[in-house]
Amino acid sequence: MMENLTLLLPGLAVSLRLLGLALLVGLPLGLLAGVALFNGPRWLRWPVAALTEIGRGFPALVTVYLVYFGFPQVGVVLNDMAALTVAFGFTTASYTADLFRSALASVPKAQHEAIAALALPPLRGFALILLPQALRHALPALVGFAVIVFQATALAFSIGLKEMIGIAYDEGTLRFDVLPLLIAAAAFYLAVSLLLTALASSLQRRLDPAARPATRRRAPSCPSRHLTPTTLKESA
Amino acid sequence: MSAELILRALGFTLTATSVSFVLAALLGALVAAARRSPWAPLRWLAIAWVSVLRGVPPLGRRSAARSGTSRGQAKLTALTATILTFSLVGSAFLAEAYRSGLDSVPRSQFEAIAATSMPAWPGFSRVILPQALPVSISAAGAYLIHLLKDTALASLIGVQELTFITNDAVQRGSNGFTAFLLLGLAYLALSIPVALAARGTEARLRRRWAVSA
Repeated sequence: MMENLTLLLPGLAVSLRLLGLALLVGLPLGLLAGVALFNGPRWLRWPVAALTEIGRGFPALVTVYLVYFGFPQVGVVLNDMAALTVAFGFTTASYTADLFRSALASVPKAQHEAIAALALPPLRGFALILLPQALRHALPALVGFAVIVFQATALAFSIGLKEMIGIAYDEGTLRFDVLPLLIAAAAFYLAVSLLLTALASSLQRRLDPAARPATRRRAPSCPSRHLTPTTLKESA
Repeated sequence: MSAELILRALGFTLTATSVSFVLAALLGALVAAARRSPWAPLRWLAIAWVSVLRGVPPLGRRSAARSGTSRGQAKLTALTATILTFSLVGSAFLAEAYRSGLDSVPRSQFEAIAATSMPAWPGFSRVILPQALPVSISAAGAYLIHLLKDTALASLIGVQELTFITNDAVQRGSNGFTAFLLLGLAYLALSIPVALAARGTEARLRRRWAVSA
C-alpha cells in the first residue's frame, strides 16, 4: 500500500508544479482582465469579455488540445509542460477575471471618494487602497478555484504527461491491476483538495469580519456587530 | 467528417449531459435531505458523500468507474460508465446547490411553519420551496453548463462524442487549430441556451413567487 503511494509521488509533484505555473500565469492575467472589465475603456472591455467567455466556455480539455495540437498548425510549437501552462493559465485567467471584477466592485464607493478627496494619484490609490481590499474579498474564492485547477491538472494525462493518474495507469497495466492504483491516485487528489478547501473555509471565516463593511450593503437589515474604522466611516 | 457523424456525436454529448443531470438531480435531492436530517450518522454520511465526490478529479473518477466495472461481472459501455460517474458526482454538486437554496431561506420561515402548526409537507412545498428554488436553479444551471463541458472528458474513455470525433479527425490530418477552435465554440454555443433558460426560469420564478422580506 505504501509502495503505491510512493510510486505516485512524482505525479503529485507534476500536478503541484502545474498548479503553481497555472496560478503564476493565470492570476496576474486574471487580475489585469478583472481591472479592465471593472474600470477599463469600452474598447478594451469588449475584447477582454469575449476572451474570458471563450476561456470559460471551452472545456478545459479542449483548451489543452487547442494549445498542444492546434497551435503548432499556426507556428507555435510548445512542449507538454509549456502547452499545459498556457492552456491552464488562460483558463485560470478567464475564470478569475470575473472573480476579480466582482471583488473590485464590492469595495465600497466611499473608498473611491476618499482617494479623490485625498488627491491621491489614481494608480497609487488603486494599488494602496482598492486593490488590497478587493484581494481580501477575493481570496477565499481564489483558493476554492485553486482546488479546481489542481483537479484539472489531471488532464495532463490526455497529452501524455505523467501525473498521478497517468502513473497509476502505466503501473497498473504492467501489473494487470489498475484499480488500486487509480484509487490511490484519487485519494491523493482528494486529500490535497480537502486540505485546500479547509484552508479556504478558515480564510473565509477569518477575513469575514474585516470584509463586513462591504457585504453590509447587501444586508441592510443586519447592522454590523463590529465597530471598525471602516464601519464608522460608512455610517458617518 | 460527415454531418451524420457530427450529429451522432452531438447525440452522445447531449445524452450523457441530460441523463446524468436528471439522475444527479434526483439523487442530489436525497443527499440534500440526508444532509439536513436530524439523525447525525445520516448527516455525516451525506457530508462525506459530497466532500469525497467533489474532491476527486473527473478524469480519475471515470477511469476508476471504467476499470472497476470491467473487473466485475457487469461490463459497462463507455457511455454507461460516463453517465454513472456523472450522476454520482452530480448528485454531490446538486446537493450543495439545493443546500445553498435552502440555506438562503430565512430561519424565521421555518419557525413560522412550526408556529402556525402547518403540516410538514405543505409547509415545505408552499413556503420554503418557492423561496429556495430560484437560488438552487441558478446554481443547478451553472452546474449543468459545467457538466456539458465535462462530457468532453468522456472522449478519453472512448465515448464517441464531439471531442472524440474532433480529436480523431485531427489525428487523421485535419487542421488542429481550426478543428479545436470550432469544437470549443460548439460547446460555447450549446451552453448559451442553457444559461438563458436558467436565468429566465430563475427570473420568472422570482416574479411569480416574490416574497417581501
